[in-house]
Parts: sequence; structure tokens; C-alpha cells
Amino acid sequence: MAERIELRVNDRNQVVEVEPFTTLAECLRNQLGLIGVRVSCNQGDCGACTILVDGQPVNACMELAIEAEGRSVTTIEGLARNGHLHPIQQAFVEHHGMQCGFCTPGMIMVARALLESNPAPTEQEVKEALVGNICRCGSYPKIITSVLSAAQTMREG
Amino acid sequence: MAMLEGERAAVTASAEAVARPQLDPRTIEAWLEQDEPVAGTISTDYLPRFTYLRPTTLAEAVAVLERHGPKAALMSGGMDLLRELKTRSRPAQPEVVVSLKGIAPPLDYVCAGESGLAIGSLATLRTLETSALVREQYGILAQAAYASRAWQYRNRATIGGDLCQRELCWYSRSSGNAYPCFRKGGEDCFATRGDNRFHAIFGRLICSAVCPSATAPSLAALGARVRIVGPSGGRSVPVEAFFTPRGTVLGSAEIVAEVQVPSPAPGARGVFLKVGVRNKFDPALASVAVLACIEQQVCRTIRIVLGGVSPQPWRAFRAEELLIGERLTESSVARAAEAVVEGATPLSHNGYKIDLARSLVGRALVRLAE
Amino acid sequence: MATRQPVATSNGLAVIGKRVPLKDAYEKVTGSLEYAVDFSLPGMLVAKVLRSPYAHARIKRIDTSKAEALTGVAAAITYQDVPDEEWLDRSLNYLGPVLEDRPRFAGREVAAVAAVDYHTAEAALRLIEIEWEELPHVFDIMAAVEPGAPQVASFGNVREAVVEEGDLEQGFAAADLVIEHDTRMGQQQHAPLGRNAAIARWKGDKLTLWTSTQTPFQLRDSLARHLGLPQNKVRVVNHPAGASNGLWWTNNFHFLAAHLARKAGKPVKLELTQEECFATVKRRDKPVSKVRLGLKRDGTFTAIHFKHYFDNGAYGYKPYPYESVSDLWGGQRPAIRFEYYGVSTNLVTAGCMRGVGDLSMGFTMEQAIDRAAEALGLNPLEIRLKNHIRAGDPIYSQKFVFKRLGAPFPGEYLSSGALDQCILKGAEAFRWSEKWKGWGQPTEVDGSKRRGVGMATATHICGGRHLGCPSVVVKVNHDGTVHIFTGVGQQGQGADTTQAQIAAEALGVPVETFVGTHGDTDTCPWSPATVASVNSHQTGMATRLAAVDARRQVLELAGLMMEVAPEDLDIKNGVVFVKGSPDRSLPFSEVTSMKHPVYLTPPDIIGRATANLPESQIAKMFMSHFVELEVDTDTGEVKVLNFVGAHDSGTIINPSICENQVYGGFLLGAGHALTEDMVFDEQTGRVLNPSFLDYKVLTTVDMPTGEGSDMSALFADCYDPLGPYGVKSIGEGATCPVPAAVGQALYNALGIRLDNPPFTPEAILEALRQQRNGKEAHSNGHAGR
Repeated sequence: MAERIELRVNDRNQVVEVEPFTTLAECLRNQLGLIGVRVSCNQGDCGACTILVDGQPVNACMELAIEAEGRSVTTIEGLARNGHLHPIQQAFVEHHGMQCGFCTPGMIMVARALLESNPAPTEQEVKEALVGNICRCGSYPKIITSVLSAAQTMREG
Repeated sequence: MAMLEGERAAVTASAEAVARPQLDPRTIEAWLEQDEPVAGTISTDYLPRFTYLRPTTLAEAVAVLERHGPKAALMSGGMDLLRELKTRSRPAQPEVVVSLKGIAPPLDYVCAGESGLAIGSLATLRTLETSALVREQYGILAQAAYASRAWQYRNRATIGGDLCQRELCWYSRSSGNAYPCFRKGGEDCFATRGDNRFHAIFGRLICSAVCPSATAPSLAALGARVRIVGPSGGRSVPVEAFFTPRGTVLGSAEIVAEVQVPSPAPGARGVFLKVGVRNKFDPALASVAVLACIEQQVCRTIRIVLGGVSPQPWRAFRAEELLIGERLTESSVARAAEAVVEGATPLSHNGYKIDLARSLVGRALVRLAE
Repeated sequence: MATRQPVATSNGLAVIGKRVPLKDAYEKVTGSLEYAVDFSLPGMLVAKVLRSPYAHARIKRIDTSKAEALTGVAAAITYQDVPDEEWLDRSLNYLGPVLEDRPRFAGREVAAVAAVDYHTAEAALRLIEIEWEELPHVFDIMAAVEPGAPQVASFGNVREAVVEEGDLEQGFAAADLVIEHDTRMGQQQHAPLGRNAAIARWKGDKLTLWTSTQTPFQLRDSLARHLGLPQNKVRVVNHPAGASNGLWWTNNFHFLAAHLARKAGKPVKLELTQEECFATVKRRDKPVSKVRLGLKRDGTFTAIHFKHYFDNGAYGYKPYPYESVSDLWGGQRPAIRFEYYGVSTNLVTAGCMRGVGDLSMGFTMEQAIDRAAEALGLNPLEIRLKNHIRAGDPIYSQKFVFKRLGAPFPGEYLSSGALDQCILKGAEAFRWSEKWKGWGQPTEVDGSKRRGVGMATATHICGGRHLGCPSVVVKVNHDGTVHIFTGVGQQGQGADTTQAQIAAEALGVPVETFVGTHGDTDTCPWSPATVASVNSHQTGMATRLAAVDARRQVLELAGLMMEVAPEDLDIKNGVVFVKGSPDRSLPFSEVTSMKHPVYLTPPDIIGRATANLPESQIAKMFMSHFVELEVDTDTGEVKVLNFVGAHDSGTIINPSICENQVYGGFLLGAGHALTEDMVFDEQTGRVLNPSFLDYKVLTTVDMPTGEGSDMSALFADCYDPLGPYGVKSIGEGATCPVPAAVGQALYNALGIRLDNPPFTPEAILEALRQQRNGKEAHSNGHAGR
């Protein structure tokens, strides 16, 4: 039985009608058009669909939409402000922290959560935070450079 | 729909049926007809249809499970259940998913009591790994939780789910229940005569899959107990006894409510080590958790528990006996490590686990002596 | 972290050699880039596929009537609904009917339905009735070549090819030492991140198909042939793909979507699950390789006899693995005979994957070279420097292609080559001479931890003449902005950016003024597809010429306006000026926006070109990889500590893109060498680990980590006379030397020669156990490889 739920997505209140078996990834992509929530494995193994729920990174494909009732969700679409890229996004552009780009939103969302709680991570901390995000192009060296560079930019404010 | 004009010419079959988006009841029936053999294989990754229930007390949850029997599935963090549901790899397809997230008061607590730690079934692995209390006094539990898998997983995976998740066996996990193995009500273990590189070398009966829990070895080393509620009330079992060669002791309407971890004795030290195919965030090829009291270099008490080598967290009793009252020297460590693997019964592809288990225990004991 | 190495750039270039951000970087970091899975149409149905549970079986009866009667189902198709005719993929990667009554691998499509939603489609598939007759199957390639083996394909189980030159018998007679070496390898799969979908829509008799593919024009041409339509009645609109590594070409599911949409009379989307991407499309061909190498005492190669059996799976049709190993060691003109056997089995189709041929054959060859060097007291650098080919040397690998095409072999020569630089500069950057302690000797031992270093070399093609002529259009808008139209696929290799850089260089305008449209077959010119590392070298030739054509037109106009002969004008940085008098200039956009004196409107400038490689010269990329790793003999764990990739790819168009290609290639190759292994059930042929949980691709924490660890890429100073601005290619070759380099480093760390990757902890522990038991460790722990 479909149910109406209210949630906050990228700082806007949204009301959507979801089935109990609708995942949050499906809801965000199909109902709210947020295609930056990339779904690849759809089983919580690859990290491409990573979003922040109440600030914490989770795989959107492994969340039931109805359990997101009342939560605050941030997707990659919520990062840039007035057309200005977030410093993490900017760093990924400058340092080529991507190739095909499919893993990129998930990488950036985890980086955002990491830098929120740990503004000056070590290289190893960045790697361990990103262990659930697969980049099959193997762009890891430049991804990590991007995150470390963004951290520095954000610290310098 | 202007863009669809003109497509009529290409139509070779009536599309009238498509005009009604509502599902005919026959659709659901056909879908739920699990006993009908399917002529081929179907790969799915979306959830099947189910009803979602959210009881508010444990007693109500138990009652719901009793009422629906095998047609109900219990969900805590969902990291394991949703995968099973998406791949249609659960022995019986559930009609009802019962969430524990509505239980009041919430089951996600981690709190220190007089005798130790009480961990609510819904406490996430992330909570355990980040809790100062757990890190300081129950370090091997925090380390095991951290190494379970990735951050996103640990944010949702719960201690209850970690203990109750299904075995990590390629055959029993195959999509569409492709292998009617012992765990599916069949009589066979496909891994025993197939690819068993990740399977057990100790304590196998029919099923050879290893205990999938990331935290069980640490919990067992700490002497933790699992508090279970069910139709006939509550009971509490040691973590080692929670797992059986056939899975867990949980009855179909029983629920893990809490994990109780006694405070380690003053001066006790722990070591946790794990090896995966790639790195420690993989499921364990083997892991070891050790908790010991060493006084003046003499081992007073010790518990050695291995993961990844048996359907249960595997307690190395013989090695423990050899070490109690002994100094941790190169030779006593070597003797104990050898004792760990005595009686191992490797399968065709997993003899390496003997060497790995021996090495990991030896390394943990050396670390303990440092 | 990854250090930036100085990069060889040709002097005087404004755009080539610059670290230009990816053209679509903004879309990628904001999540707005539209992959095929993100595309949908109003009224669209979804499709699901019923697949064979058997590795080989015959359908005696199939009945979809119950499925079709289900409310919400719009169409069901079986082999009875599609033409019997077999379709053929680019480079012989697939030959088979879209559906047939004799599925040949477990997971092969047998029926498909289109319905209003997934649950309905799934229910419908469950209602399809099939009466099966199981047929005998064969999985192992060496069993499949035996007489009497179950026959998989209509053409027999074995496709053969030979590349040879010189007198093999004399070559071996002249040898002082003959090394025989056999290898096997585990099963690598493309493991694409980002799945794929095909969205098909018919309007009258015109089909439009949206998908992510490396081969948009081959897909269009195959669809047109299969459906009996003219090529202008099929439009493929290509979307960027997630990491493809050779998986997303023309695939069978594309045809299913087209048939379902026609039968349903509605647009249909067929989206594959990750499991289907792993287990039902394609995989790297799995080899069994044997080589005999004859050498003189001084290390000179006199003869190479290579037998390479590679798996075609159920529907592959390749007789030849598109390799360059047979060319690489021709420096001293050894006699060569390379025999290829493409073998059909009842496993999912095997075909090309990044580094095809040169990765797997290179592994065998490099190990044989290592054994020879050790026996002769040479180090790994010396023996390679002595024998590799150099610019101007003859190459023979394409002889077979000419034979197959019925054309006389013109004689071919290497256009450029700097493998010597790759070996020597790479060794220097890696500090090889400090770390190399001799064959089978660890660099350092600390308890159970043993460090070892290894190096290996490789080469790969840069496109191929027989692939066809790439065409490119460069359109200059009235405001001076530029559109480039090509048929390249986009799967992360950055071709849209590098082609724009080439065109911007030739046109003399900033690369930022470019926008690209790639792979829409109704609007873009034909292309030989993004395979065989074709783009920067071969497609780049057409791109440069198209931009030169546009530039000529701009200069003619400017000449009219400025009353100067066009040949006296030049364009740089978006300014048209008189040579020698830079003060006499006009902004580029002013030229393009002015009214044409005759036509009284701004000019329409369309540059176009078709190009191909010359007949007798061929460019190849070269590379030498160096790795240092640490093995823990207690646990079997292997950690990569350092990596240096030294590449000769000619002029480097964009160092950042190329570094990403080198690191990515290394990580893909290292995955193959260390952890990746797709496992088939020996009983059913079903893939047992089709998920990112169970198929282990490397992650962030598997990279070199810690003090003194690094990954770096460096580029040889080499200008290729054929390529645009001296450019060759890079993408595929970056994977090729890795398994051999890792294998050599393990040998040096452990003193055990391992010849069957992946070298997982299980395999290392098993090898150590065999060593303790006094046996020579030749294979890893897994039976049935």
C-alpha cells in the first residue's frame, strides 16, 4: 500500500508517495529526478548511490524510502550553491578526480561527510573513508589528491 | 506524447492491455506462486512486493512474527535482508517485513552498566566503532566493527543484524535460490564438493559456510551473551552458543534484543586481527580475537576465538589450556598456535586456512606479549 | 601521493600538453551527466529477460501465452519472434542469433517481456513454459579442443590463426638455450561500474535506440542489417558509459529492446542488473599459453614459438587476440611462429577487454624472458633492451589480417618507438638499481615481511587501418564557438576532451570554446568505434584535418575582410592576424560573425575530414611498469608499495588524463594479478560471484600506502610521425605489463615463481605450503582453473 511521506531533500521539504518496497534511491531518482544518485550494484557494495541522511553517508539503494520519513537527505544535487561548485566538487574538477564519472557523486558525498567531522584527515583516513566507493576506472590517486586539496581549501576558508 | 505519433505502423501486437496501469490481482498471485518451477533464471535487483509492519514493542514484534511464520522477515538495518530480497535468495519469499525501528524505547543504545556493556540490537556498527567507551574498554569489539565493511554499511548495519545475517556462501546466496542446499531445506552442500575456498575448516556438519558475523569472535572473546526474546519469554545464551553448525539458535519468532558484554577483568588486554582477500574490510578469510590477563609475563586467563574458519566463532580451548599459567615465549606461543589447528578438516580448496589460522593466532599472542 | 612528473611536450603548442579539465567535469561532479540508465521516455515500458538455467540445452517447446495474457504485459518474445540470422560484432567479439532454440551458456537470453513495471514483467517471466532437453556441455578450453568434445558453435569449437616469419627450426638450432614456459590466468571480468540500458522507440519504420556504447556506428549498422532496415532508418543516440573497459560494444540485449519495442508498440527500456553485467554479456578471454623461447648466450632471441589458446566462450568468434607481442621482441629478428586458437566453450561469451591479447600473452612471454635472463645471468632490463623493436623495424602481426581480408601484405614498419626510454627512465625514477638484488632475491626482509621488486614491458596497437576510416566534423558557429562531431564512445577515457584539444590546437582557438556531440548516428560522421585504443592517434588524425579544413575557411573569410592573402594569415589563441604583423588582427569571433561580402549573412563554416593510417607504417604504444611490493609470508597478504609506469604514447595531449589512464590501467591489471577472479560453477557453468561483494576489484586502501610509497607516471620523449602532433595512444596498454611485473616482484620476494594469477592470499599461502613440502609451486590453490 502506497504511503505519503514527508522528507527534506537538499534543504527543501518534499512529499512523495512511496510503496513499502520503494528504495530511497528509486524515490530520489524516479520521483524527484535526482539522477546524481547513481545506482550501479543496487546491493550496497559499490557506494555510487551514496547520499547523506541526517549528515551520515549511506547507500540510498539500501534504504527503504518509508524509513526516510522526517529525515534530512542531501544528494550531490544539493552541494553546489547558485551555480557555484562546492570546494570538493571544484577540487575534483581541477585535479581530474574522475574518469567516467559514475562513482564521482558517491565519492564527493563521502568526502563531504568526512571533512565535516574531520577537517584535516590524513591520506590513510581518506582512503579508509572511501573504501566502500568503487572506482573501476582506477582514478583513486587523483580522487584522494582532490579530497586532500579540498580539505586544505576549506580549512583556509 | 507527440513524439509517439506514427508509431502505430510498427505495432504488431495489441498494446491495449498496457493502457491500464493498475495491476490485476492475477499479477500478484502469479508473483507469489513460489512453488511453481520457473523455466529459466531471472536476475532481479529491485525489491519484491511486501507489506511493511512497524511494531512498537518487542512483544508485538514477536506476535507478528508468530502470526506470519516463514512469510515474515525481520529487519533491523536491512543491509543483509534487502540484498536477500532483491536477489530473491531467501528460502521463502516474505509477504511481510517487520521493522524493529518502531520499538519504544529504541533499541539502538550502547550503555555501561555495573557488570558491563549493554548493546541494543539496533545499535549500529558505526556507533560501536566510534563510542569512546567501547573503544577504550572493549577495543577488540570496536576494531571488529570498524573492519566489518565500508562506512556506509557500518552506518546502517546493526549488532543484531551482524549476528543474524545469512551465511556468506556463493551457492546459498545465489540469486533466485539456484542451489537447493541444506540451508534451503535441501540435503546437499554444493560448496563441499564445489568451490569452498572461503569455507570452514572446523566444526562442519552438513553446511560448510563460515559464521558471517564480523563481531562474533570479539564478542565471544569478551564472554558476551545474546539476550533473545520470543513467544515463550526471554533467554540469554553465550555468543559462542548462539551460533550452531546450522546457523543460529533463533526460533522463527525469536528476536535478538540485546548483547551483553561483561567488563573485562582489570588489566585484561585484547588483540584483534583479520585478513581478507583484499584488505581488512573484506569478510574474513580468517580473523582472531584474543582477550587475556597477563601478570608478570604469565598468562592468567585467556580466550582465543577465531572467525572465518567455522560455522561458529571458533574457540581455541586447547590452545587456551596450554597457555594458562605459562609465560608467553616463542615456544609456548608456537605450541599454542599449533594446537589451534590440530584437528582441522580442510576441504578441497581451503587448506590455506590452516596456515592462516596458525599464523594469526601466533601473531596475536606475540602482540599480547609485547 | 601521486607526484606530477615533468611531461614531454612539443614546443610551441598552445593546447596540446595542457592539463585541461574534462569537458564534462561539471556534469560529472554535479551528478547531471546522463548515462543511458538515466534516460527515459513518456509511456515507456520496462523489460526483463528470462535466461537459460543450463549451460547447453535445446528448447523443445516454449509457450508465452500465459505471460502475454497477464494484465500489464505488452509483449513477449522468444526465438520464434526474431530473425534466425546471426549477427556479428566488431572485431569478431560475437557471432550468434539474438535468440535461438539452443542456448549455449547458463544465463543466455531465452525470452523477454515488456510490461508496465518490473513486478509485472517478472511475474510474466515466471509464467513462461519451456520444455527443455539438456545437451552435453564443455567448460574447459583444453577439453573443448579435444576431438569428440561437445560442439558449441556452428563453426566448430576452434578458430585458428598463425603469425609467422623466418625459419623456426633454424632459429632454435641457433639457440644456446631454450626456455619452455606455460601459464594460465584467472578469469577477469570488466566489472563495469554503472550498468547499461537500451531504450528503444519506433516511430513508423524508424528505430531510435538510446544506450551507452563504445561502438555507436557498429551498433547502428548491426541493427539495420538484422532488422532489414536502411541505415538511415536506425538511429543510435549514444550516452556516456560508466567504466566499460571494452564491455559495452554492440551487445545482444540491444536487439532485444528493439524487438520488444516493435512488438509492444511502445518505447521499451531494458536495463541490466549488475549481476547481468557481470555474468551474461562478456568477459576477458581466459588463456592457456605455452611459449618456447630460443636465445643465444648473450641474450639475443633467435626463435619464439608461442601457442595461445584463448576462450571465446559461447558466442565469441575470434581466431586471433589482436596482440602485438609477436612484434615486440623482433629487435634481433628472431624466427617467430605464433599460433592462436580461439576456443568455444559453454560459458558466457569471452572477448575483448582493455589490453586484450597483450596482457595475457605478455604475461607468459615476460615470464619466459625472466627465466631466460636468470639462466643467462642477465638482469631484467638488459635482456629486454637487447631484444625489443625500435622505430623502422618490420612488424608482422597484421599479416594475418591482410590474409583474412584477401589483400597482399605490403610490409609494415614501426613508425616510432621509445621502449628503451621507458625502461631506462622508469628504472631511474623507481630507483631500480638500489632495489634490485638479483633474481629470486628480496629487496628487504623484516620477519615475515618480504619486499621484492619487479618490472615488465608491453606494447599495444594504436587503432588499426582495417578498423575503418574515422570521420570528424568541426562546425564553427557565427559567434565563434565551435562544435565537434565524432563517433567516439565516452567511457571515462576523456576522448571528448582530447579530441577537442587536438581540434582547438589546429584551429587556433581556446579549447573552452568547444562543445562536442559524440556518437549520435544521425548527426555525427561514421567512426571505427572506441576500440583498440583508436582515438587519440587514429581518430585524432581526422579531428586535426577537420579543424584544419575549418581553419582554411576562416582564413579565406578573414582574407576577404582584411584584404590579405589567406596564406599570409594565422590564428592563435582566438585571434586572426597577419603573419609578421600581429597588430593587424581580428578576433576569431569577429571574423565568424561578420556578414559574408557575397552572401550577406555570417558564414557557415563546416570543416570535415576522413582519415586513416598509412599502409606501410604502424604506430604502437610502449610501456614499462615497475612495482615494489611486500608479501607477508604468515598471512599471504600482498601490499603494493610503489609503482612507476613509464609510457611511450608519443606526444601527450593531456597529462592529467594520461596519468589517470596509467594509474587506472595499473589498478585494473593489479586487480587481475592480485584479487579479481570470476568463478564458474564446475557443474552448471553458472557464475558464482557476480557482485562487487564477491568479485574483488581493488579499492582505495589497496593502493600504495604509507611512508615512501607512491604511484607515478612518466612519459617518454617521443614524437610519432603519423599521429596528430606526434600523438599515439595510451588507454589499453596501461594494463598490459602489470601481471608480469607483479609476478616478477613476487618471485623476487619469495623465490617462488607463480604462473597463475590472481595471487590472492590463498594462492600465496598454498604456494608457500608447497614450497615447504618440497614441491615446485606452479599453480595456485584453486582446482579447476
